[in-house]
Amino acid sequence: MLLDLINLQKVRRAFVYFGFILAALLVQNSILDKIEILGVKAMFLPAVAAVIGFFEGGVWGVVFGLVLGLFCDIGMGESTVLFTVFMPLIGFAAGVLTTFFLTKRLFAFFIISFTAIIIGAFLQLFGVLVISGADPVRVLLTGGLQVLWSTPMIFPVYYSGKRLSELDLSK
Amino acid sequence: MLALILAVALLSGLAISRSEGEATTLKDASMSLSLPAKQASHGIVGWLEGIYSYMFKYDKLVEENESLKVELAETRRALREAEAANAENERFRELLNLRSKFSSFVFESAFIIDRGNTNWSRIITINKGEESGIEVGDCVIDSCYNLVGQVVELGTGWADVRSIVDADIRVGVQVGEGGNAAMVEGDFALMQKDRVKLSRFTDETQVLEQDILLTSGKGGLFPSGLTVGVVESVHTEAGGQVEYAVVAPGCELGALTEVFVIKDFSIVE
Repeated sequence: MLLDLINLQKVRRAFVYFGFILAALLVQNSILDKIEILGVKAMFLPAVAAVIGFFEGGVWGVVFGLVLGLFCDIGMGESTVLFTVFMPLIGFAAGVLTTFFLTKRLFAFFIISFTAIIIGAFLQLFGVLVISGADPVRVLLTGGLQVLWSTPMIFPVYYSGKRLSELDLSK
Repeated sequence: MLALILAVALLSGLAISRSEGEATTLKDASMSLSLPAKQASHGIVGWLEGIYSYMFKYDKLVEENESLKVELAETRRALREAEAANAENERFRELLNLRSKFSSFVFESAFIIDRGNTNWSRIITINKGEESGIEVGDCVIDSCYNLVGQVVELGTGWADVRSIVDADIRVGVQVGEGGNAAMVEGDFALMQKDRVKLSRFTDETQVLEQDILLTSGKGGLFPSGLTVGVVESVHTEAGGQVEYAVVAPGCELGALTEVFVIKDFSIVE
């Protein structure tokens, strides 16, 4: 009887997305971390926060964005909670936009996640620029390259998210 | 909506970003929860790297072993000479009634459990924190007394160390034979090449390539005499005045697994 209270389908879906987040973190921290092009690494995790909100709605976007952001901040090793704040916002925004304004197509997701990646890079470089007083040209170039290297990851993130959202978890 | 996201994230991020000292409760709790996973993954990665090294780097290791044997022989010879010079020095000290040089460190050994993986900083996380008596500002070295960095934030069972190549690092150093004062400063562009900048020279300071830089000990944060790095290249202005030098750190940041936190020190020059 207690089992009737629990929506097992949603619980299963939550576990699936949690696994998806862990896989994305693994790719970011173990694979992309080792690949530097012109001294810059990709950072595609904002797209992961966006994809959950995009397919599952704003509430799921906020919850999983928070989990992702928390792990992301820990993995980055920086003394910030920047992503813990930023990722839920991205998840929420993606959910709201697809609920009211956008279609759930690749191009719409590309626009959302590309914007998320740009904002993520901007937030990261802002601290370096303002507090460390680093050379603005070099900082902006690093931010630009980070966005550029991260952009191709939008496609696998979209197709993975789409596939997960279509999974039949009723059984 | 975009402006709202940007504003909220920016304000929150800036409010807490790049803070130093005691970790926030949220971060401390999440770090404590993730520590076992980090330590386990670090152990697995180390084990895999060990197997890889054994399988594919055997010849290189044999070659390195041979060159180290030669280096050891040379070092032993230098040590014998140094012992004689030391004895002579001791006699002169007694004659002139001078106090002996003395340095004493209180160490805490720790393992690196995480390396921050961003384009914007070089922070490493170690597996010891406030429970071991480590404090913010403590200096971290490797087994050869090369400066690794400085503790910037800590909690229970972990501490974040700003590495020597981070863009925000500042260390007072002595340059060359004259021991003139200068400053090693992190530089964002050089950080991406794992290098730092030597600047703020006095007029009489001469900087040459291959000069070894030692901590000056001024300011009291770092003990004097730790190796910071070696001058790799010197950049001069049109008039010949040295503008800055690029320094390669003494420690091998990428290869480090164990470090030592200097919790307390006393030095008599």
